[in-house]
Amino acid sequence: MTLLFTVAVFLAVYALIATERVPRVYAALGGAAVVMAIGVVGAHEAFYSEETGIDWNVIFLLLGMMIVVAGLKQTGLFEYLAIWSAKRAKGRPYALLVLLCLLTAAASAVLDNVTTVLLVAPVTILVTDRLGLRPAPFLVAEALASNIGGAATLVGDPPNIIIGSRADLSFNDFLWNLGPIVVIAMVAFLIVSRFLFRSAFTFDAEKVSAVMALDEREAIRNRGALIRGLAVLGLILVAFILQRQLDLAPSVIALLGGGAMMLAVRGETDDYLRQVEWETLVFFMGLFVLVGSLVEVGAIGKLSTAVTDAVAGDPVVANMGILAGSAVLSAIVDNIPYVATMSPLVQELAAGSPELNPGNVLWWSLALGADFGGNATAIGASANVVIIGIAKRNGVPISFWYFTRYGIVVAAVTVALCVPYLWLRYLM
Amino acid sequence: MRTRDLAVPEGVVSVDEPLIDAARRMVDDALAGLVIVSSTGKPLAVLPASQVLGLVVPGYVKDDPALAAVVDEASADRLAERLVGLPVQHVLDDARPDLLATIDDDATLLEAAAVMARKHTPVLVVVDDAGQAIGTLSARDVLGRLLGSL
Repeated sequence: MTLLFTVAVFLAVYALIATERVPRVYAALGGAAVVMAIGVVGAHEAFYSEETGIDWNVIFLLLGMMIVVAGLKQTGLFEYLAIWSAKRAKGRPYALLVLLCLLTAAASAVLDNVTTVLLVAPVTILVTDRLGLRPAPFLVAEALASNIGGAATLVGDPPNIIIGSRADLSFNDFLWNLGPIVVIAMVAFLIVSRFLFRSAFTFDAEKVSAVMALDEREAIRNRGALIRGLAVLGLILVAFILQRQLDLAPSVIALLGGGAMMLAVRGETDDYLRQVEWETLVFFMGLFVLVGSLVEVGAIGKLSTAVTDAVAGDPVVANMGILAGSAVLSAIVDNIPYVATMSPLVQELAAGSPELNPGNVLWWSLALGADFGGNATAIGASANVVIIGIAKRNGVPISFWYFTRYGIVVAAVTVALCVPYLWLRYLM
Repeated sequence: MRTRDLAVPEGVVSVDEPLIDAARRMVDDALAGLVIVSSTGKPLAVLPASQVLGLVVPGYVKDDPALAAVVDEASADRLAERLVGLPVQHVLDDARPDLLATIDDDATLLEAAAVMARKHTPVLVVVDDAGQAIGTLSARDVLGRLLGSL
């Protein structure tokens, strides 16, 4: 009875998140409140259990990186790089798209995707406005690039942060295992974009001078702060790479990095705290308690047994199933709640049937399916939703179907590329 | 002295008028804001000058203020061109109905000052017996008149 009720609460929360009837943080907290009120999860399980409670490693890693980003945003670095890229493209639309997407993907690998598109999208509208180009295709391409680039590292995309913590995978593990396929997917995406967005590539030589007149150096408000901020970012990346040797958890590195960034860039403490997305952090907390309740009542265990029976010990079936299933479901539901739910399931699968998980491939299948699958629709990933919002504010409405008709092609191509990659590297 | 004696007819703008004319009037008559009225003369909202400036500023600069610095001056000087051809109606959604406060044309200046202080608004709409706006009264004008006796 408790099992059925808990599953029903969970499904109701999922439905509320998917349909956006209420803000997602309300849905997750409401669900967590119900399962705690009926005693499925107690205070100890919710606050202290590594298996069924709030994953503080994820919460503090996100918090630390949000503060790092708040510092970097003040330096004007991204505006500088984006305008510099536009000038290097000399107004040629495809070259502009390639350079802006490469910048977005690279930044998304280190910072979260939403921040990256928040920084790159306004510059893109400025530059396309100068060139007399339609901004919508460029904005859609940037959201897609950010989701592809974000898949490369532990800190690039929230689903990866959850997976990294749950499976105890390091920054280097992600870079080594997902980095190559992200590079391949990015190259494929840029080639496909040449045809996908071809109608947007009109070149007007007379308008190029309007872009060349932009002065990117003016974006840098404080050169000293920029240099210090970049030095701190470099140190954070080195610490992530040497995480095992330093014996520091990723969350500790992010928090130390956040503190160092505040000291380096300076500014008001309040400004940094205002830029932390508290709602997102609380959403994660509610989600973890809710998913923990599914583990507590044995729902995840039963599902894991069912999946194990279904794949009959075949790692190819198991991994391709997770890759494809994750891609489809992440297109429909935000990939964060999806991965939060799937992580304990994959953990049980990996522990119960190690033959399905050579080289942690189950986790890579989950990450790639969720990260790349999020590109398929306008609501699949947070970056997509954010870029549509920016476009609307600037009088460039991007409809659900406009985004989806490009996103679904890119998601299909990139997920399809994962099949031979995973098979050749881990399952042969 | 009554509010009708100080009411400025230029402070009232109809939804059908060109926005560029309204903006020009704010500059020429040093008005901090205009009162938008319907085509029948019914007061609808206050249009502060800062709201018109907001229209001139491109959305991408509002999203990322750092971009204001990278735009060359020659281009910035042409930004107001986007107001040309738009009616005042276009900004009605962005105007401030909450700042709207009316006062009868035969009220005293002290009554006007009391309404302004209570509603925290820098401009009042002076209306006649039929409820038609005949002009606006600014906090600056009322304060100037009250200080004048010192």
